Amino acid sequence: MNIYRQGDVLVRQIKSIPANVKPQEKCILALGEVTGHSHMIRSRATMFRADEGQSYLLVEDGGADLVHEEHSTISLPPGNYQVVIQREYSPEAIRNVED
Amino acid sequence: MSRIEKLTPKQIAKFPEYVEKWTRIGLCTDPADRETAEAGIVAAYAAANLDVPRVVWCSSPLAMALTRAVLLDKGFQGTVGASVGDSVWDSVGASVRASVGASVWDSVRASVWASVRASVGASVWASVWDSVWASVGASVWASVGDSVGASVRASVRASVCASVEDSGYGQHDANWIGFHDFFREETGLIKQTDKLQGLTTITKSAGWFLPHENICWISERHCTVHQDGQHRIHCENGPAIAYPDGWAMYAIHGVRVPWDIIEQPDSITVERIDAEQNAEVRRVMMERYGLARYLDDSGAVLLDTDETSLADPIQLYRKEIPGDEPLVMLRMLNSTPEPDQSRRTYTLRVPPDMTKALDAMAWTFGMEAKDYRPLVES
Repeated sequence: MNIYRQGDVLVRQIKSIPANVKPQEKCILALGEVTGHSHMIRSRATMFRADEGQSYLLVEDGGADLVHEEHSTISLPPGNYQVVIQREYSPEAIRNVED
Repeated sequence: MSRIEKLTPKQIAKFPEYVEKWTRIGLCTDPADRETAEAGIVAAYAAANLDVPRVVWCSSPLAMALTRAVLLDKGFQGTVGASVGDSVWDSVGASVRASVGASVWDSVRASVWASVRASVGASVWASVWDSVWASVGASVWASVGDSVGASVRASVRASVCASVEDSGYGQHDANWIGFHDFFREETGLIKQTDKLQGLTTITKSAGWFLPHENICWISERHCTVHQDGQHRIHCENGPAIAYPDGWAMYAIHGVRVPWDIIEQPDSITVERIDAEQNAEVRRVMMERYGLARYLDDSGAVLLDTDETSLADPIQLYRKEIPGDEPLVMLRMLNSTPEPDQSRRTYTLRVPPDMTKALDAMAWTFGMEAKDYRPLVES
């Protein structure tokens, strides 16, 4: 299954989009917190969101472009996709602190 | 009156109202209502069969503790009289406890007491408590020490510390005072809570107080309290808690830090971070210094470079942190060049057991390295 990465957003092809997801009005995969720049889809695609926050993308015939102000555009072929936002590790509570 | 064994749905529905009301009291930053608070002291002393004391206002719990310490050290024990805290709050809860069933007690305790405690007691009160202790050993000592004389430092210090335990916490007693207020107002336990009304009045109108036979010191409320979404004291650009006399506490997400970490972030250096013994404080210092910058400046070891990626080499660095887990970070080049053709790097922290750059990269997207083969990267 193909994987596409645009900066901190990864789009991963999957067989099917799970049931119980809700279509979203806009196709914004991730909003840039600092710059305000966003990863978004132009045309022929629908984004879905599951209750637990996971996002999916349905790209229709003809394909769609994933665009961002600071990254090159990525052309996505028709298909079902899962959207994964890059994460960062954060340490757990400190144990055995020596004060 | 028979014991209350069950609360009505209507009474239970009142829980949030009490949590809200008493949390607001606990975190209030208004100047003390001195007249009302003094009436509360009179009532609290009367409930304990004590004569009306002389009330002395102080501008912070620390000022209160130091004032008492100096007076006691100068031999004014007779003027001050013995600490009467125990009589003032002795047995106030027992009569309510006897009037309600265990399940009722537990449910109100879990809903009202615990909630108010979570937002007031666990963060603000605990911080003030710790800071009174800590302040005696630190900055305040520099000014007080000389005037009291080095030879008596130890006794003053012990006395200040003792005053933390001898104090009533005024507004910071909101958790258990609010708990009893619920029983008084909603279940009709009037007689059982009468003795508590003086303390309730103090809680609603002032900060900490230090009751003695002849003198009752009482402090202003804090004038600043900032918390994060989890009720931990937190402020990134000023004091998280401050009193009108300028005594202040600085904290990031509940971790108390020296004032200059917040007010003068330029004072944070790699040497200072590495010398810090408290792991939580060190983490705050590293965050404020910038993790990527710290990685560059502190001599982190390059663990692995991966060039199999479509785009650019990705690198994994590790820096040992004494007494804490190591800082392991992934450094990537932005795939798309800037207008001037340079490319920005960005750095992400990954779990400390990572040793391979590609494993780390895959982890940041919740994947295994074997599955991480992007067709396009930009």
